[in-house]
Amino acid sequence: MSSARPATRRSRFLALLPGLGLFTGFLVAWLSSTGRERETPPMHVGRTEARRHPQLRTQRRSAVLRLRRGEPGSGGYYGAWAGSTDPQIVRHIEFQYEGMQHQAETALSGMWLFLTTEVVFFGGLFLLYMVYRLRHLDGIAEASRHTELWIGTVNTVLLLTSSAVFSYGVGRIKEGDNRRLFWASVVTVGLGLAFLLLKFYEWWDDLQKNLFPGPGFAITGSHSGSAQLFWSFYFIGTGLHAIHMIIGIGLVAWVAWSARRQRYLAGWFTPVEVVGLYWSFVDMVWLVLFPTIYLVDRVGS
Amino acid sequence: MTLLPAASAYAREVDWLLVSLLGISLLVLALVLGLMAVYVVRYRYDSGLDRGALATKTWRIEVAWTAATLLGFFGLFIWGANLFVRMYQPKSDPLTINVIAKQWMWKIEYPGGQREINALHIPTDRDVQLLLTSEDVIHDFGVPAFRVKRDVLPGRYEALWLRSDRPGTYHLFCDQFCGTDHASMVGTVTVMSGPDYQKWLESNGASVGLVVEGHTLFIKYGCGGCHQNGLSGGGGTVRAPSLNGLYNSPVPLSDGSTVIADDRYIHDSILYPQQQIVASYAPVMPSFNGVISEEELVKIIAYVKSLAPRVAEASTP
Amino acid sequence: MSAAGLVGLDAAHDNYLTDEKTIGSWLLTTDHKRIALLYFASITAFFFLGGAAAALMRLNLLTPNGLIVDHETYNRLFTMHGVIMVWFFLVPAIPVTLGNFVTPLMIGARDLAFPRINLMSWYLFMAGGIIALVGLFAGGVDTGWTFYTPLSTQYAKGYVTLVCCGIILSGYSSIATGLNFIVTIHKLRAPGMTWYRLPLFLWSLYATSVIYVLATPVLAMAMVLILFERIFRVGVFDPALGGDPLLFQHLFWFYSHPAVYIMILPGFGVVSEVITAFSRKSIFGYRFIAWSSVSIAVISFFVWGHHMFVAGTSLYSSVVFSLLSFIVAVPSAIKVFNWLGTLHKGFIHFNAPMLYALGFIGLFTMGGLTGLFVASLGADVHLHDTYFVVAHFHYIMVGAMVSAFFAGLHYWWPKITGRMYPEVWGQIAAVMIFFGFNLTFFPQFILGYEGMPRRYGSYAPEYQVLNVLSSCGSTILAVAYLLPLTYLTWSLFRGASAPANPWAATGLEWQTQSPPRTENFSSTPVVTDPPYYYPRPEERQHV
Repeated sequence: MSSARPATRRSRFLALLPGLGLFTGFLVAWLSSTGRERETPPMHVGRTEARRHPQLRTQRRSAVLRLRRGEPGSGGYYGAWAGSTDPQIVRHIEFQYEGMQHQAETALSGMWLFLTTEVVFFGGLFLLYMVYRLRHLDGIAEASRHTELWIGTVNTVLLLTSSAVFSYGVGRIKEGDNRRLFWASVVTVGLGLAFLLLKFYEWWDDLQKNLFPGPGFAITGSHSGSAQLFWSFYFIGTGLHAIHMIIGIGLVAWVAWSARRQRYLAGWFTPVEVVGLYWSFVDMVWLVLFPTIYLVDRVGS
Repeated sequence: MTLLPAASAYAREVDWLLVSLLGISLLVLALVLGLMAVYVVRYRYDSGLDRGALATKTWRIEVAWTAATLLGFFGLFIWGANLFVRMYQPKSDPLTINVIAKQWMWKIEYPGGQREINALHIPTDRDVQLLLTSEDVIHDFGVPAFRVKRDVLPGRYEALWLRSDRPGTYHLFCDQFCGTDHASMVGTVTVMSGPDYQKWLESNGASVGLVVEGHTLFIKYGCGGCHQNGLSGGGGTVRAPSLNGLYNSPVPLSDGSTVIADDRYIHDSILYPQQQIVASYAPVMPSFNGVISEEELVKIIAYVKSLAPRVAEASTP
Repeated sequence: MSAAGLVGLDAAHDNYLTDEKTIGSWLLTTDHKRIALLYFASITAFFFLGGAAAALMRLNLLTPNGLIVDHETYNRLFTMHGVIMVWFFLVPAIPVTLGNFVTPLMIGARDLAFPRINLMSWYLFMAGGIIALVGLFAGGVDTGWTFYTPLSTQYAKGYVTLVCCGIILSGYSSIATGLNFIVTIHKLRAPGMTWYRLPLFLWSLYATSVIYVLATPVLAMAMVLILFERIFRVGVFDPALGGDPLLFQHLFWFYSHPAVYIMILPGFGVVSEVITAFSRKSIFGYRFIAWSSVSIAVISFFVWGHHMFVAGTSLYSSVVFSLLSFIVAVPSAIKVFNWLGTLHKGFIHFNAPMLYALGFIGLFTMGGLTGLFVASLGADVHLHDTYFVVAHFHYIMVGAMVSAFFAGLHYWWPKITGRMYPEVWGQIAAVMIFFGFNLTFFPQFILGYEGMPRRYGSYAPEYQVLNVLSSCGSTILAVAYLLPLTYLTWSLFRGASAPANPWAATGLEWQTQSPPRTENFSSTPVVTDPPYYYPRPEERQHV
């Protein structure tokens, strides 16, 4: 067995990642929570006024959007709360928005757009992997067989479960149940932390087995070079994913804390949805990373 | 400031393209600036001119100038692409010269064993193929008088074709930023007529030649141990493809495709043997990456190229 | 000096500058107008820093052997110039200053969709900028702004890691800005403000934001890969391991080509606004200009290979990229023709913004036409990595883009500050910039054809005459840039008070006071007119 490595620059740097991630997570959470309290009345142009002016060609809206805007008889996403003037809800509407529906839709579309950028970000890395795999199939395949399949599988189960649990929580808060949201968030954080702990153990194990690319790399022979390329992809991909996990745990923990203080309402839970989207995205990235790293070249020679 | 000389027929063709582009640009610029000048004078707010009604159905004008622009651009594209593709076509029976770039100098190696630093000599009216590679970072072999340049990459051969019809001395520049003394990585390309070139070659340290030096290296690195080529005894237990007559012959690979064994193929087979395995052979050749330098590679490849097919050769592809 | 005194207004005329006056209210503001001013201060500082580096470079190039600095220092200077100008001036420039300020006003909204993210953008930008500056001043980086591997990862001795971190942070700043603009333009338009009533500035800002959002993450990944290689000393692009240095170039240019359209598209938008306002005439071909912005944004993602024609990519991919590069030039040509069509039968005024806009049309046409030279494969092989390319992109980025920036700055200056700038000085500066710029960069086209490579701190003696011409021009240009700095600052204290609509222009931003109140509008505007509705004399008779 190889002896333990002294703490190198690389392992110390890897240790910095959690701190960075937590800090970012709380920063984002703080930014979202210091809102401008409503001082001026919301901008509101009644639909009857708009109909009175024949020159006004208002934006065409699809049937779906009409439903979602909570128009009478639609039920809609926010249902009865859409055009609410309940001060508890109105308090959360920022002054550039017409109403809660408007604000919530906008926040969600913002998060979806952000997630698109994240897809493009990880896409660059997967492009790198695809090109190298096309050119050096044997080396990449051999290198991927040194990964620990059981750790990857357990982690996948943990993460999928956590997504399901958090979605359950989002469903509960739509009924105004802060308590169940709190517990769902706590379980999600727990599962996320378990994922990370297992991940850190896996990295430690990989370092023990000299699988970090560089001099002294474990896989020797003519495939050594391309094996190192695979393991570089592995560390970058799982490292970036771990940073996103840490930020996500920070966000979910903040949701848990707010739910504990009964902060969310059936008519206002936008931050929960937005965090839910982010958490699901982190899950999706893992669902692509997992087969790429652990499964693809494992079967066959 | 003198006008840039054109050292080759290709250079003159590029100049025609550039002049035409210039002409078209000047026309368009004159049109745009001219119209602008006319309009700002004619239609200034206090010109008192009766402007009349505005044009309607302006989309016809829009489509017209869009189509005209597209057509013009397409013509220019075809012309430029044609020049480019022709420049990179391999020619038959070229004079192959190896160029190895390193920070911050050019090392030129001729087939007869002559070597130069920062200077290249080529004959007129002969297709010259420069095989470019780098020992460190990306450089670029640029000769403005020929209107050509090519990036020089580490670990890879790139080919650049020259054919001059005008004796003279021309600038050679490194055209890809490569570090501190990038600006000093300059040299000359000298074109000489046939007889003058022969004289130059003879007087410039023709050594035993790359082929002989390559043979020495072939033995030194143990290539003959597997690729038994004319060495007495044989007796190796490893079955390896024969190198006799290999150069420029088709090679079937294990994935079903076929490649031509050119300089690049031989170079990559020595450095990265796992990338292309010959059909029906086991992938057991070790990589000599980091073991054999680019300069030694040039010699070994010259030796391999010199191996002619033997009459009673067993039919290995 | 109170902010109220600064704008010459009394307390009865409250506006976003006078509402709150503490430092904290500025540094923690979520008001898009204040954030625009914070940004404006930052990018002005970066512009003069990058410009100082350029001045030193041009000074050095007066003699063939390099007059004042050695090769190592020269390399660090041009890297600093490129990094600062691209990422900390040009990529943000118009969107974060004019865009931030004017977008909610133009659509009749009270703020952007995500005001706090807007503030976070500025902080990310400042953090990235400071980190990059520390790297650039502590010892510099000598890889060029393009960071090609393996030079930047294995051979460069310098603060590559720091500067790349700074670039990543500024990249995320621009992603956040782009995201904000896209969502705002979709969701916060006032009633009656349909897409085809939007000012063209917003169409181009929308297209710019799409590029911000889709291209910048790839840059972030390219930078992350460089960081990984440098910090952990493992080769991701190392040919010795089977890696491919060309892969870095693909990732880098996949962002950096659309990035140049990020730089120019907002300029197109500003010019559309200014030309129509100072021709007192509706824009010619509104829909064509609008959709040309969108098509430029889309096609720009498919042309990155034209930076790599000689790099060792396949012949056939180069042919495809060349064709697409010609195609991407067509929408820009359409815009130029449409602007000329706007001038036709207009009522033209020659205020400073108009002079800058006219200068833009001339300089952009020249820069764009030379783009055809480098899009053409046969020509590009000769011109690649020479001063021809340098002149081409400076014509667009400096000649056109900076002119457009000044055009927009002067156009909206009364709205932003409530002051009028001195008109004559504005016109003088516009003309001086035009001539100084041409003298600086036109000789470089010739230098490039003659073969002078770029990034050379010393050169062959036959190139000296043109270099001296170029350096002389840069002196004039430097003075010309200092002019607006001077008279615009002067106007803050002594300029005449500006009315709500000094140019009698259309657009919602002119329907509110100058400077605007914090919430922009006292009541929601309702839009009924088509865009750029300037009644013609014959129509006025019927009113």
